[in-house]
Amino acid sequence: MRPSLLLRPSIGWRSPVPIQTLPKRRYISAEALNRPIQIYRSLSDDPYLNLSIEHHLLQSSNAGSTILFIYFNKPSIVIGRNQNPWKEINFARQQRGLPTGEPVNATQPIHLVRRRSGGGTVFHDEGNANWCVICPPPDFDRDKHAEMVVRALKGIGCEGVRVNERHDIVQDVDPRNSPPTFKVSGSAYKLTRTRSLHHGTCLLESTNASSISELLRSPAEPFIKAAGVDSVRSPVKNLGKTDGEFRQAVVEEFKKMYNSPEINVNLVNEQEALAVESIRKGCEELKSPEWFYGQTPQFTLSWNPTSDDPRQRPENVLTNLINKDIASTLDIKLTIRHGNIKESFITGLHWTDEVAQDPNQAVNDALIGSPLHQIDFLSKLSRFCKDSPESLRRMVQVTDWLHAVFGKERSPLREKMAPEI
Amino acid sequence: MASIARCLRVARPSAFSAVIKSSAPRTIGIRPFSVTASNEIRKYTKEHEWIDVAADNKTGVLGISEYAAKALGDIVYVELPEEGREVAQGDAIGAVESVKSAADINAPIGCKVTQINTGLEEKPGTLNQVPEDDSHGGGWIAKVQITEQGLKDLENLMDSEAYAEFTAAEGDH
Repeated sequence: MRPSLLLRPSIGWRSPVPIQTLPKRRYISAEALNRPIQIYRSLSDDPYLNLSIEHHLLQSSNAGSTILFIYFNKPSIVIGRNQNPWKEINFARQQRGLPTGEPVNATQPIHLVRRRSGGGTVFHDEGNANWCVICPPPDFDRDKHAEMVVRALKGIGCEGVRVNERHDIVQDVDPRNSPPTFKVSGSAYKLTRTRSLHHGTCLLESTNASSISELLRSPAEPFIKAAGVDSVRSPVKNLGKTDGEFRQAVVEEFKKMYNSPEINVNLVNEQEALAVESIRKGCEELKSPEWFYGQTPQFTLSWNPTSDDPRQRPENVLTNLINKDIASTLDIKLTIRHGNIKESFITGLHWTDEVAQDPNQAVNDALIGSPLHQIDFLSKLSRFCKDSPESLRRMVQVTDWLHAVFGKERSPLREKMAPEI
Repeated sequence: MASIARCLRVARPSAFSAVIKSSAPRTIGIRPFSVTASNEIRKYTKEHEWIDVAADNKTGVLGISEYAAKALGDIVYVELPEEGREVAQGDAIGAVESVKSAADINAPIGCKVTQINTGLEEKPGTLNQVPEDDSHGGGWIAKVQITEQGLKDLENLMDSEAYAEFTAAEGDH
């Protein structure tokens, strides 16, 4: 026997065999990552940190190991790796945040996250669990771990839950109900050369379920034609279980599935996670605008129907920013690559004599290469604007529209230049 | 791409074995679209990438195999490599998305990316239709310059015959 032995913390069951003390409380240690079966639970609710812990488990664990990781995030909109945030997110709604309940008018922010796995956009909050299983590629199957969660849910009294053809978990309610089926959990996957990751959400008791639909409905969508992945909209429903019930049921089901009743749950806290360099770097990457915006597949934004995107443009909160008399004379087309403006074409503005010969060249020179999340359209374009009230009105309305479409605050210059419009 | 090629095996064994028994062995090694076929050698990795090496051993074209493309299912987006980037064998150089999965594309050998097939961004389905076509309009992913190390890496890759055997065996177990 070695001196100074310590038991690892666990949920419920404790190992009768003490495990050797590590110099620090490092539960994502190299030693832990080498075990054939591992279970972790995050004590943090930071979505960037939790996704980076998950990525670290994917990249640094023994290639033959199988891992369960459970975490909860504070309110966040999480888009898929190859999605377009402007198409998926109602930025104006997101920026208003969510009520905290107390004090009465207090709000909390909604974080924006692009994950590393594929699939569509989901909303996370404290009432929506995240579960993740990482396994060797030969064991991978898109349904088997969703089935594991279904067994866990049935065990705690959730009736009518099953995995559907989209590999999501749904709950069938009364067949006379419309709809008769609700989504309770969405799946996404990340496959590397040596490892396969399946993660999913599970709606337990989210207090924000009624806001999800509005948050994930972008008014800019009718103007955007994008490569990449679109989300599939589904009616969702809470299962009405607590996080503790869910965690314990999934952990038990995982232990049963991998025949490992004696595995402890390693608790990972924020400080410990951030002490791992690759987790810290992963976090920085996920928080960077280059990842969230810059990873967007190429897309075009156009005011009018085009041959590539012939959809009729609707009248909505965005088009209402531009008066009818101006709207009919406008054409706006921008191509965005890696989050930067690649091509631009704007007609219907009144240009100064200096650029009237070739306004398109001037506009291109001003806009091309600018990162969309930083650009102030009014400050870039106002110097080309003819000096007349009507010209200014056009300029302000068009740039207001561009800012709104891209979920940006109005230009700070606007109040100075045209407070009355 | 090892992981994706296995995706369907457990979920839909019948569909998967159909892929292996019918089309895969027949098409591998035959490249009716390639004009320079006679001058090139095609090699495959266990992770289901292919690379055509030019006769001078200096340049190559790479992509993912027909076997992998079929196993992936409907490809909805291809994240292309970065032009000018130098990579080592096995490095992730891009990714493809299908059925909610982001799957890495790995460099089959050490190389430097000189050109990417931008057509795949608009038409990712090309990768399902003609994944092993290295001509214009085909599903090739990148053109590369082969590094010194890359030439050595080539030695542990499979020729088309060995790869056909490898995939047949993989589908059987």
